[in-house]
Amino acid sequence: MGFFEQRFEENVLTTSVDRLVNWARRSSVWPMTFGLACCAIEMMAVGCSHHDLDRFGAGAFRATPRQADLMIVAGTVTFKMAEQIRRLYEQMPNPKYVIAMGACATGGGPYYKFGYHVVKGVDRIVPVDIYLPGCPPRPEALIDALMALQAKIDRERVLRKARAS
Amino acid sequence: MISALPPAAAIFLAQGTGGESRSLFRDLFGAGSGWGSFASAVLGFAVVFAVASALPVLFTWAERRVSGRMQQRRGPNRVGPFGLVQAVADGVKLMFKEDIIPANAERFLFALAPGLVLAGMIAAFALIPFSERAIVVDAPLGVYLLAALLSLQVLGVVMAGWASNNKWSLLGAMREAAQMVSYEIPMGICLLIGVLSFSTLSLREMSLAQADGWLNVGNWLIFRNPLFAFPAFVVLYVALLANTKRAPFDLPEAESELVSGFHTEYSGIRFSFFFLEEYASMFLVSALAVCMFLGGWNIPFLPGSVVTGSVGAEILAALVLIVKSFALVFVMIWLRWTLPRIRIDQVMNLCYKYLTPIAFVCLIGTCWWELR
Amino acid sequence: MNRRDGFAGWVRNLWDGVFSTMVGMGITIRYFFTKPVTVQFPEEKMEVAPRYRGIHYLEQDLCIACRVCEKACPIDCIEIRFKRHPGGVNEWFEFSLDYNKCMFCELCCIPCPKSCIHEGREYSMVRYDRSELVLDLLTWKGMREVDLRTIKEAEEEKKRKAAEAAARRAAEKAKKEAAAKEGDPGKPRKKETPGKRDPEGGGDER
Repeated sequence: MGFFEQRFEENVLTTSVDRLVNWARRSSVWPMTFGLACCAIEMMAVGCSHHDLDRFGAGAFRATPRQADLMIVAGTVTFKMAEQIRRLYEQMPNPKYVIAMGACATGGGPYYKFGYHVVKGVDRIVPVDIYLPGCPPRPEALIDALMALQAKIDRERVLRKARAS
Repeated sequence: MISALPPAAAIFLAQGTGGESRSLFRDLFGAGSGWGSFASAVLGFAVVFAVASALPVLFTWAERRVSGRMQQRRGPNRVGPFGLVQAVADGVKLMFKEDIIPANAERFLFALAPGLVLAGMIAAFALIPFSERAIVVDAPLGVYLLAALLSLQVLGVVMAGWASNNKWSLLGAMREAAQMVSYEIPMGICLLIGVLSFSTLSLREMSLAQADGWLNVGNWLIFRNPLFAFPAFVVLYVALLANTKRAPFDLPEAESELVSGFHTEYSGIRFSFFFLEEYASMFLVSALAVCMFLGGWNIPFLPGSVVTGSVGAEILAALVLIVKSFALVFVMIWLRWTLPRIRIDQVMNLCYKYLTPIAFVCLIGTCWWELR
Repeated sequence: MNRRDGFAGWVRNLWDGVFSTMVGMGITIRYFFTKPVTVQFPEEKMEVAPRYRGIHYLEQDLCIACRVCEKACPIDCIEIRFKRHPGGVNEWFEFSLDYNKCMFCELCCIPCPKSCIHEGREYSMVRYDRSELVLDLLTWKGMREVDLRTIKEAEEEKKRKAAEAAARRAAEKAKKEAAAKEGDPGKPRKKETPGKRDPEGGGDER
C-alpha cells in the first residue's frame, strides 16, 4: 500500500477504494491485549458479555503487536513502562491507532501533582488518536471512544491526496 | 503470488497420480490429452482455491457468533446483516495493512512459510470427494496423500518459527512439531482402520462403500463396526483437532505464554494466510473424518439409489457432506470455548498414554471384526 | 498406593477426562441457548448506579466563589478565576475542571457550603485532542441587570459610607486639634513599628 498512498486525484475509483478500505479498517479494529493498570479491568469488561466489544468487530484481542490495529493504553504509564509502550507501538504495522484510556493515560491523572514516576500523558510517547478521561471510564465510554475512532477512520484518505490545508 | 504456486503444483502432481478418469473436471475436458488435463487442473485449482478461501469467511463468522452466544454475548452484529461480512472486513483490512518483515528474519523462508502452510491445505482440498463426481482429483492413494499434505503444515510452521528469529516463534514451532509428530501416530492408525475396513485408499470409494444399508446409515463405518470404529472416530477427531492446532491443543500459539506462537512476527496478508489455513483446515479434517467414518456424502434415511446420476443429486450430496462437516466444525468451536488449553506434558500424555493404545486396540479389533 | 495407579487408574483417568469434558460442553451448550445479556450500548444504555460519580456540573447561581472545592481537590484540577465586585457579585472568568487529572473522588462536592458542584450521571467524554479535556463548568452568561444594579447600589452605598466616614474623620480631627490647642502640647507620641516581618516571607502567599 505504501507506494500508492495518497498519490491520486479524487475520482470515482479512488473514492470508492478509499471507502472500501476505510470500511474494512473501521469494521475490524483489532486491539492489542495490553493493559497497564485498573483501566485494563474496564477494558476487559468491555470484552465481556454485558458490553461486548465484539459487536463492532473489535473483539479479537491480538496478543502480538504485529497483528493489532489499536493500542488501548489502559492505565498509568510509568517511566519504566514508557519504553516498552513505545516499542510496542513501533512494532505495530500501519495503520495503527491509539486510545488513551483513563485520566492517567491522557494526562497523568491523580499522579499529576506528586507522581514522580508517571509520564504526564501517554501522548508524550506515542501519538494518540482518542482521549478518554475517567478514572476509570465506564465500559460504555470505551465503546464510545471506539465509535469516535471509527468516525475518525472514516475521514481518512487512503489513495486520495491529502487536502491542501 | 508465491503462495499460489505450491498448491497449483500439488494439484498437477495429484492429477498425475490420478490414474483413471473419474473426476468431474477430467470428464469435462476429456482425460488423456495433455491440454485437457492441464485445463482441468487449472479449473480444479480455481474451484479449490475459491472454496478454500470462502469457507474461512464463514467459519470465522461462525466462530465469533458461537463463542458470543456461549458467553451470553451477541458477537459481531454491526458489520452487515448479523455481522456476516465481518470476516470480509477482516480480510480486506489485513490485505491493506503494512507487511512487516523483521530486520533479522530469514527473508526468503519468512516469505515462503505462510504460502507453504496455505498450499498444503489448498491442495488437500482437491482430494475431498464432495459427491460421486464432484471431486477435483480422485487419487487412488487419496488418504495417504491427504495425510502427507496435512503434515506439510508442520514444515511451514517450523519454517515460520525459525525464520522469524524470535524466541516465542521458535518455541511455538517446536511445540507444533512435537505435537504434530506425536499425534500423527494415533491419526495414522485411525486412518488405517478406515482403509482396512474398505480395503481402499481412495476417499471416493470409501464413501461409495458406505452407501445403502439400514436407512442408508447402516453402512457408515461407525455404525457398521460400532464397537471399534466409534472409539477410533473419537480418537481420530481428537488427533485431527491437535493437527489443526485448535483449542485445547493450541499450544503452538498459546497466547498466555508464547505471545502468539509461531506467527508472532507475521502481520498483514502473511498473517491472514495462517488465519485462513487454520479455519480452512478445520473444514478439511472434518470432511476427512466424515468421508471415512460418517458416510461421506450419503444422505441418511434416503436410499442411495434415489440420488445418483443427476446434477441435482450431486449438488444435494455435496450439501450433505458440507452439512456433516459443519456439524463437526461446530463441535470443534464448541470444544474451543469449553476447554482451557492443556499443558504440553498433558498433550503428550494424552497422545502416548491414551490415544495411541486405544487406537491400536481399535485397529486389532477392526482386523478381527473384518475377518469374522 | 495412589488410586490412579495401574490399569484401573488409567481407566479412571480416561473416564474422568471424557466425563468432565462432557460436563463442560453441557454447560456451554446450555449457555448457547440462553438469551444474551448484552446491552447494545449506543442504542440501549445501562442504568448507572444511583450514586454514580460522573462528569461534573455546577449550579452557577448558588456558587459563592468560596474556593473550597479548589482547595479540597487533592490534585488541583479545579481552576477558578473571578473578580469580586461590590455587593457580593462575582464576575466569572473561569471555573474549569481538568479531566486530564480528575479522578472523580467527589472530594470537591462534599465540602461545598452551598452544595452547588455535583458529579453528574454523564460518563462519556471522548475527545480528539488533549486540550479539549479541560471542561469549563461555567454557565455564567455575563452580568445580569440585577447584578449591575446591585453593584451600582453597592458602589453608591460605599461612596456614601466613604464620604460619611471622611466627614466624621474630619470632624474628629478638627475636634482633636481644637483640644490640642487648648491643652499643653506635650510630647508627640512615638509610633513603634509593628513586629518584625518574617524575612523568608513565607506563610501567607495566598
